[in-house]
Amino acid sequence: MEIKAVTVMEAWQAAIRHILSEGIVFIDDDKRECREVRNLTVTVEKPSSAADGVRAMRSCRRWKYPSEEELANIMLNKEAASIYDYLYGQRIFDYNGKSDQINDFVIPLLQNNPNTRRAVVSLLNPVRDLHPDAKNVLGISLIHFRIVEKRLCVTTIIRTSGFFTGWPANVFQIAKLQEHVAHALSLPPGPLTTISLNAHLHSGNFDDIEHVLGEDILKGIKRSE
Amino acid sequence: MHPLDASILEAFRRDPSRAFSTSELVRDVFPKKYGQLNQQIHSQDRKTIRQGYATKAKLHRKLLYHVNKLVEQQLLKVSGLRGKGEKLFVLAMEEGEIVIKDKAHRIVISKPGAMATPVDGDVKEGLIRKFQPNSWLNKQNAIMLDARAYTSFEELQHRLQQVFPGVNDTIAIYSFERLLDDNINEAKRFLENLCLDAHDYNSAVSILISIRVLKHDELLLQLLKEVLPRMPRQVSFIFSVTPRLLTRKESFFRNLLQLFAEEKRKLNLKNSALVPAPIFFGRAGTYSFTSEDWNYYKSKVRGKAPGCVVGQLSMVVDIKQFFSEGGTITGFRELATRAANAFFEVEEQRRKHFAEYFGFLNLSNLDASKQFFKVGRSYLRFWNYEWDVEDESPIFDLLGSVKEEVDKFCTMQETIFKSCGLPIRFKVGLSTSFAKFDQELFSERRYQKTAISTTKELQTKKMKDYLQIREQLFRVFEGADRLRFFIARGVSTDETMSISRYLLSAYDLPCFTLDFRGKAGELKLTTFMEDS
Repeated sequence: MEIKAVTVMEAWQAAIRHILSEGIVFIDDDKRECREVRNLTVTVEKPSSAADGVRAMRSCRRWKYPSEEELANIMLNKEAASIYDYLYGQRIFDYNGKSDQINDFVIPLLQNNPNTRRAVVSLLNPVRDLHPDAKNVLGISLIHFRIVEKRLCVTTIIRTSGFFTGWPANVFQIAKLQEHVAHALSLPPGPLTTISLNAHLHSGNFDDIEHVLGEDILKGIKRSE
Repeated sequence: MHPLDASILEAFRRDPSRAFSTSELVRDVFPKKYGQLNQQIHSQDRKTIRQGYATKAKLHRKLLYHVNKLVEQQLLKVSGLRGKGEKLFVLAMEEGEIVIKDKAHRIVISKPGAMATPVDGDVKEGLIRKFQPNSWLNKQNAIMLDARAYTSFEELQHRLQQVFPGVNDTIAIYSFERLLDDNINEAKRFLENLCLDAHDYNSAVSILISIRVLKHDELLLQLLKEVLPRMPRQVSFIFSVTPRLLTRKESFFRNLLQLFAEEKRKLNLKNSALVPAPIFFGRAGTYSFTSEDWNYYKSKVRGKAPGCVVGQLSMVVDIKQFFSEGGTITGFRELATRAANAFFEVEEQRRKHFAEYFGFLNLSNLDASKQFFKVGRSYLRFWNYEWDVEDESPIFDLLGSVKEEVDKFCTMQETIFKSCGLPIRFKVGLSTSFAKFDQELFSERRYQKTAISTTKELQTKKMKDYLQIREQLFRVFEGADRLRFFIARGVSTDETMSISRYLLSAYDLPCFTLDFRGKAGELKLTTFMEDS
C-alpha cells in the first residue's frame, strides 16, 4: 500500500485511517493489543511540514513528547551519549567509530555523481544490534538519498513504526537529515518516503488518536474485534 | 590564564549554582594537599596538628589571591559569609553561558536558570517539596560504588573523590568486606578519609557489608571498635544478614551488637533472604533497587561499570498535611502524576547537559558510562504516611494506586520516547522520607513509641498489627523503606539477639535499624526519625 500526501499531517492521518481499517490485530512482545499492516509506504511531498506532527503531539498534555531540539540533536549529533541505548546520529556520522556516512560518502558521492543510486546510509549494525535477547533495536534502519528532477529525495526503511507515537518524530528526524544533505548539495528537498515494514497502532491509543487528530479520524472504523 | 585560575573556574563549571567557601575551594583545587593536611589536623600529635593548620592557612592565602583576581574580573562575586566570617563565592552571572579561553585553556560554564516544573504551584502551596532543588539539574541523589570493581581502598578512594561533588544526598559502598584483608590500617585510613569527605560535602554515606561473604570477622570488629567512636552520624553501616546466618555466626553478632550498643550507634540490618538487592540511606530517605533492576545490575552493569546511580531526584509529599487541608484522593493521585511529570521534565534538561554535568565520573568507556546510569530512578517520597485518609481506605491502598498511576506514566513515557528513536530509561519509585529532607516544613506527628526491652513487646496485638502494615508498605515501596526500633538502655546482648532473630524471621521486613541511643517515652515522628 502506498499513501501520498502533500503535508505530514495529511499523510499521517491517511496512514492511521488505513491501519485502523485494514490492520490485523496482534499482541506485541509487551502483551499490548495492536493493529498492524505490513510494508506501508508513505510519501510526503513537502517535508518542510515535518515539524507539524511533532507539534501536534507536543500540544497534548497527556504525555511529554520529545522536543524538536532533542529529536534533531539525536539525528545530527555524532557524539554518543550515555543516556541513550543507541543514537541515530552516531550511527550516521560515526558508524562504528570509523565512518561518517554523510560527509565522507553520501555528499561527495552525490556531488560527483548526481545520478547515483548508491547513496545509502545504514544504521543497523548486525554485530551490535541483532541478538536474540536485544530489546532496543533501532527503528530507522536504512536511508537512501537520490537526486530526482534537481531535488534531493529520500527514502527510509523503518523496521517497525508506532504510527501514532513514533512516526511523526521519525519523519521530522529524517527531514532534518535531508535538509542537512540538501543544503550541502545546494538543492531543495524533494519528497520524503518512509517504508514501514511493520506499521502499527496500539489499541490503548485510540482515545489519544482522537484527541490529537480529531474525532473524525475514527469515523466509520470498528474500534475492536 | 594561571592554572590555579583555571582550576577554580573548573570547580564552578562542575557546580555552577553552588556557593563555595574558601575551604571548599581549597579542597577542590588542591585535593592531594588538602587530604594530607586534613590527616595532619586530625592526628594525635600536636606538632603535626600545628603543621596542618599552617599548611591550611598557606593554601587559603594562595587560593584567595587567585579568587580575588577572578572577582576583580567580574567572573566571581562574594555571596555572603559562613561561620566565623569565611567568605562564600558564586559565579557573577545569574544564568546563561560564559566561555573563558586563552591559548592553554578553554572553559565553558553554563549556569541554568531556575527551572519551572508542573509542581511549582503545589510547592508554593506547601503540598510537595523538592529535595535539593538548587542541584536538580547537575547532581544525582544517590550513587553506589561496588567494591568488587576496585583492587584496593586507595583506588576506591580515588573514585570517591570524583563522585562526591556530583552527589547531593548519599553514596553507598557495596561489598566493603571484599576489600578487607589482614592489614586493617588501610581500611582505617580509608574510613577516616571517607568521614572527612562526607563531612566536607555534607553527604551521607552507607557502608554495606555482607556477613555471608565476610571472611575476616575479627578484623572487622577490631576496625569498627577503632573507627566507630569518631564516626559522624551521617556515615552508617548496613549489614546484610539472614536468620540462618544470625545463628551460624552468633558469636560475631553478639560482639557486633555489644559494640554498637556500647557506642550508642544505630545498627542497620538488611534481611537478604527477603531482598537480595542493596538498601541504603540518605538524608532524603531510603534508596533501593527493584528486583528487575538488581538482576540487570548483576548481569550487565557489574564488571563493566564501577557502580551505578541509584537515586536521581526526590520530592516529598506530607500526606497528613495534604488531606488535612482538604485534599482528596483523586487530587492526591493527580499530584503524584504531576510530580512524575516534573521529574520527567527535569530529566529532559539533564539529558541536554549530560556530558557537561555528569562527565565528572570520567569513566573509561562509553559502555561503562551507559551502564552506570542504567538502573537509577527518581523517588516520590511520603511523610506522615501512616495517617489514615478514611477508616475504610487504608493508606497502603492509596499508595498502591498511586504506584500504579506513576508506573503507567513512566511506561508510557519510555514507550513514546523509544518509538521516537530515543531509547531512554525513566522510572519513579515510591518511598518514605526522612525528617532531614526538610525538617522545618514537615507536619509533626505524635507516636506512642517506647523503647523496646524484650521480644515480648514486639508480640503484642498492637505491635503485630503495626508490623503487618509495615510489611505491606515495604511491598508497595519495593524495599525502599526502613523501620527503626529504639533499644532501651541496659538491655542485654542476649535479649537484643533475640529481638534481632525475631524481627528477621517472624516478619517480612527487608531492612530495620536497632537504635541504641536508648530513647524512651512518647516521641514525635520528627524525633523518632531524627538523624536518619
